[in-house]
Amino acid sequence: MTETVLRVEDVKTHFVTGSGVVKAVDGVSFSVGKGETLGIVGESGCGKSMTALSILRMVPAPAGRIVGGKVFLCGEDLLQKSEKEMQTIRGSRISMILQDPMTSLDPLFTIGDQVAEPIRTHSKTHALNVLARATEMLRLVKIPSPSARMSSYPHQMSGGMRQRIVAAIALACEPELLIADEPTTSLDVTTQAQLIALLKDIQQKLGVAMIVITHDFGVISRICHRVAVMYAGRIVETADVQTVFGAPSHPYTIALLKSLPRFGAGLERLHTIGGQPPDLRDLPKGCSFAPRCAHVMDICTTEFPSQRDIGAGHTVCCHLAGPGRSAQ
Amino acid sequence: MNEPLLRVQGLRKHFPVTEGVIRLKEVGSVKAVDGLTFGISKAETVSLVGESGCGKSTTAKCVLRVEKPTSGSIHFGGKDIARLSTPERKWFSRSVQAVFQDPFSSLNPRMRVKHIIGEPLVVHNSVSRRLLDARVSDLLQMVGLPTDAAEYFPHEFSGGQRQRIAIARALALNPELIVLDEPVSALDVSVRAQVTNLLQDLQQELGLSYLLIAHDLAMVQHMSDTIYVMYLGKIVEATRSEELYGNPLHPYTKALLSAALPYDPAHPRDEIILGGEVPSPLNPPTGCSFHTRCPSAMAHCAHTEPPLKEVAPGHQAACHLY
Repeated sequence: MTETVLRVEDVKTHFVTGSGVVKAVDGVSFSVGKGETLGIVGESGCGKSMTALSILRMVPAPAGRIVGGKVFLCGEDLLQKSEKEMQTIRGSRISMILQDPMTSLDPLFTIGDQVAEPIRTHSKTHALNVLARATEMLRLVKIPSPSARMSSYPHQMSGGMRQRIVAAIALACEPELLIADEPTTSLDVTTQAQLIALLKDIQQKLGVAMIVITHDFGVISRICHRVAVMYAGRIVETADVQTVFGAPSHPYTIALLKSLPRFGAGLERLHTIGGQPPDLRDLPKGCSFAPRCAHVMDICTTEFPSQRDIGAGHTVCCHLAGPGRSAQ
Repeated sequence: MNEPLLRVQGLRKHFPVTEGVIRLKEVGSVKAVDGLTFGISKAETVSLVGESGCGKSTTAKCVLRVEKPTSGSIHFGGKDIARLSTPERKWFSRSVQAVFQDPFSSLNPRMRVKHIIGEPLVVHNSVSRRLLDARVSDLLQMVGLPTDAAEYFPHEFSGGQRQRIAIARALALNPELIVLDEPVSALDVSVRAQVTNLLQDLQQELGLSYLLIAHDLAMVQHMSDTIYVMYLGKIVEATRSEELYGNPLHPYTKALLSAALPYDPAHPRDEIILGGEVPSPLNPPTGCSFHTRCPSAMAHCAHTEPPLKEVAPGHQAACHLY
């Protein structure tokens, strides 16, 4: 068993709004080991980004609040830390790659300044060596002629290059955990493939633990070791990547995978999931997927299914799961 | 051979790049679309696929008469759309409709759904006021929304439902051709399949033709009859959908397929990862515009542009390899 870097236990993040309490994250637990990539997959509004922000304690206040749970980074509970302590952790021990590289870089500073900033802030690198270290980071993310690029501005670069700069900033202080929130969504298809290959390569080189948040099963299949499927603020299924694609167990995962168009299938109809994701202010009693589920039973509408372990690290929250029973 | 519904011939759209205080000095041009020829028959779906900047949306704008082509011609129903008389222009705008990518910005937030869907009917005087509400209800039913949705505002709907409203608006005037510009890419994964199926059902029911513009090859392959792969304003490969999937020829198509194919972790395979990024259309590479990123580039690719030629029955590619 590899060493656990992050362990999240029963984290709940709620938002108080005029029309009720939005349970954005409602009891999420998972762990990520050293050198491991966990994919969190789900549709918009399922709480996957809020889970990431909860780990970093960056939930937008005052509406949003982490109301329960524990987040352990190498054994230390982050939810007990002071804001000042958190500042030394963000960007050095945990860092994040955001979706849109057009807005996550400052247009007024050079690439060199921006890559050097976390190194200056967090590490004890001597001032003379900071720029050398920044150049080295650009080389790591395969920016051509890195020393010349140090004095470029973000607008002089393409989307794919900017996202690689963002990755260089995130990795500059050798974090223990890297969170990538939809890292490829705003990129072109062929550039996406490049960035995924780069992230994979860097992870193998540095052995960093990684969480990739996405709605794209293509990204998941290419980069992740384990996958957590989220629906309406909860993780409904966790398994290694082969199991999720080969033998998914939760009806939501099964339906989602079936609804993807497949090559060579021709013009046959796609499998659809009826209805819409539920309103997080007014979650159905019992299992939140019950209103859209093809295998719904009486118990599903009254009782939330507890998490069951069905072997080899494969856990499912479904009344159908268990020995000898399957939604397939 | 009978005349297709839409025929695009040698379409070019160049945007001038200007300099100087009053922007009169022309210093170059962006060749957004550079010599595009294709046709759409009745009840057929034709797709243009490519990455951003390949000219697929500019082509759609030319077809919708939003942009005027620099050269080349577009014929719809046998008529040149650049030379339409006033009544013909009305006929054209009834017959060709569009559904856009983002249903959050393509619907006016201050209008009720019945006014959004009813507006084209009112503008074209196609039904009397008395029958307007009934027609709107019909349209809502066609796209699978409850008829009481007519009284609500767009913000009261989810993304998938809004896209249905946009489709209902496009259907209002019984068009023959609908331009679908990335119709599902802004939607959630679980509702994409719903909207895709709806579009296919409507096509069968009403005999619509679709010009589909997208970058996701898996979705495109699922929906289309014929696919045109574009790179920097030019078609690099064109063939029937099954043929493109089974036998991709152009190296760029192969890379796109590799990126779009759901990767099966149980059966790892070689992935084609292209180096670099799409070059600027302001200054495209000489010769074959793809040679800078092509894994099988040869010496003469850099200076001779490969023509689009038929390399197999019904399968065209622009590549020196064939």
